[in-house]
Amino acid sequence: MMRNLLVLSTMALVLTFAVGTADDAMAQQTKPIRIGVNTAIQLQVGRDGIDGVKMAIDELNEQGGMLGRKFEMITADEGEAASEGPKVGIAAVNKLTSEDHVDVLIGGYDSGVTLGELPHISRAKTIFLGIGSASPAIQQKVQDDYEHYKYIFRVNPINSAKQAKALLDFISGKLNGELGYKKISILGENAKWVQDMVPAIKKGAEAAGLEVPVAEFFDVQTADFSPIFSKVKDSGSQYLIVILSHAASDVFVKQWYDAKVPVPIGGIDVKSMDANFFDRVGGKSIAEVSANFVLRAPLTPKTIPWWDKFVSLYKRAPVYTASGAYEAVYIYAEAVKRAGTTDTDAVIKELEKTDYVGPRGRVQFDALHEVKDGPGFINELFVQWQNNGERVVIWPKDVANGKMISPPWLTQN
Amino acid sequence: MLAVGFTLIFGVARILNLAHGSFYALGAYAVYTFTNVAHLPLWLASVLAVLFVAAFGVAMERVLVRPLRRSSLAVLLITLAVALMVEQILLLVFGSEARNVPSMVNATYHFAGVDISSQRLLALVGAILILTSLWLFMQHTRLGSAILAISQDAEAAQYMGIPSDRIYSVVMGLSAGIAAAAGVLVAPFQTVIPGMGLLPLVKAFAIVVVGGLGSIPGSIVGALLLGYSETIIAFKISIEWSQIVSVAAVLITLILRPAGFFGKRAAF
Repeated sequence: MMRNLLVLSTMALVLTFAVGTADDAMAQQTKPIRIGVNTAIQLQVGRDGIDGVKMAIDELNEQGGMLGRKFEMITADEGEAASEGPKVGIAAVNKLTSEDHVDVLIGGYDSGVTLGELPHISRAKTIFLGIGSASPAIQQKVQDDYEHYKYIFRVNPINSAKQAKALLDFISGKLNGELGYKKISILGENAKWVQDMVPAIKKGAEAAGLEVPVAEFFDVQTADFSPIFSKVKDSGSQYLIVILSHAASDVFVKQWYDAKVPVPIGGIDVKSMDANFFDRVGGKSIAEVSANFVLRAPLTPKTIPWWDKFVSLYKRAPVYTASGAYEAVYIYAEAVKRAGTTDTDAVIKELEKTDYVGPRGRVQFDALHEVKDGPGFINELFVQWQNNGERVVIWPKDVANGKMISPPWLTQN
Repeated sequence: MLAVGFTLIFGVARILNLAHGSFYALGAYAVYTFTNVAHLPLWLASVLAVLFVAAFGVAMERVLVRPLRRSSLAVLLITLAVALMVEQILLLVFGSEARNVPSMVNATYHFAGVDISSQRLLALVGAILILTSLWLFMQHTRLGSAILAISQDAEAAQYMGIPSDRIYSVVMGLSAGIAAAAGVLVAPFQTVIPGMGLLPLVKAFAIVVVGGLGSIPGSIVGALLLGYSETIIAFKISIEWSQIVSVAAVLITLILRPAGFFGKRAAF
């Protein structure tokens, strides 16, 4: 009797365990794939990143999700890097990984913040698809310590060293080659990604035969640019290269326009990438050239339909983080599909084989998990604000769709 | 202008007003709203913006500051709370992107090899006019005399029948109005964002420490001194070093002359 009871009890236990495990497995199979978005939710780069992810998730969920599971988005605020540093971003990443148990992180908009978050992301063994931070130091970690940092990928933008190379190409090809400029100045905000870039550009420009009398950094809180404009003008520079992201682009552009500084400006101005920047500064960005990664142009067959859908959904034109975020979701989803699981190591192996064509171009990763750039891949476009806020690609030559203009107070080129 | 308003309210009411930068931001946002939303002419929008912020200053003094007057720490904290609240409300209503306030004038002048926009010149002329009017008001009106009397000896002034509470309200309104006028004048060439009041407040603080807390002439001299120092350093050395001027000036003043150039006694 006792023996029968023992056998029955054991069978009941085994059955309970088996049912429990099956339930767990079932739950695992049906619970949503969680995408954590860590970004600055108050900024347009952050909002567009979130909306880019949401747009892709909605499309994928309409098609039934992936592996029978729907996608779900959870956001966490990285705060304002200029005033709060990396601490808010680190808290956001820790919340998403340890409390929300997300399967993948998509986000980042500031290199200093992202670098602060990296140890926490790798400790949580969570895949991170970067869509905004540009410092090469981020992906360098993958090369320095693959086992520890294999989770880190950069979908967008191309890194600041590669952006510097593209900017140098603009300087030597367009400014020096086509316009014959011999003397330029460089002005960059005092931020990690710019500190990496300015010395390289100065050196490259000088190697290309240009003189660079002024190459300076300024504090992101700078509110008066008139002394530096006077200095650049006095130096006889024919063009002012600007590199800024967190600083007040609107102050810079407004003061340049109001003082009718006789030196055209252009370079990498992240806020000037916004489609409504021209209106936000009352049209004073006229003739400013700003590097960009996506605009309403036939970069790939997906670009214009994607752009128009984003505008119809969110009633505003997207910035570069939107396309990066949208692509990141698809890149992750396709890797999960190929792997047949959301297991991190298996997905990483598939992410490394990515070959995806999105609104910006074709995405593949190199050995550092860095998005590849150049012909056939992602390009940095030099786009100029022209009359009535129209944007025209003026460089690279093969994708240019218009002529460069001069500021109204200078003679036409 | 910001420093003068900041030092005025401290000199008269002994209020270290951390919401002073908010008046400046509110002035800029008010003129943006009146021009871009209500589509009023720029001059009318500017006047209304200054009046609106002055009224806000008076209301703040009556409702929030006056009940806590006995504790200077409580007053300091309530002004900090107002500053944070104003910034958050601006963020909620207008978002974080910069807003554009059109220039009142558009010409550019070339003077001694320097390009100066007419809006900047207008800000300079506006500041001179407003500060001169303030001086005339303080020196030649009964209300101005009452304000000076309170600033010199509040208790004695009260015994002489000067209603100190009403004077504090007037001075807060005046101080807020001057800060708003500064916001209105610089909005076309500065950035109009919710946090725009913080840096000017820090600069105003540095100026009044250098000039002497409570001294209007001290604020004017301090502003010119710091402004020129920053510009010269930006031009001759590097713009990167210009932001450190204010901090260095505060540090040196506190060590060598804690009362500032024109202050009668150390404020801290």
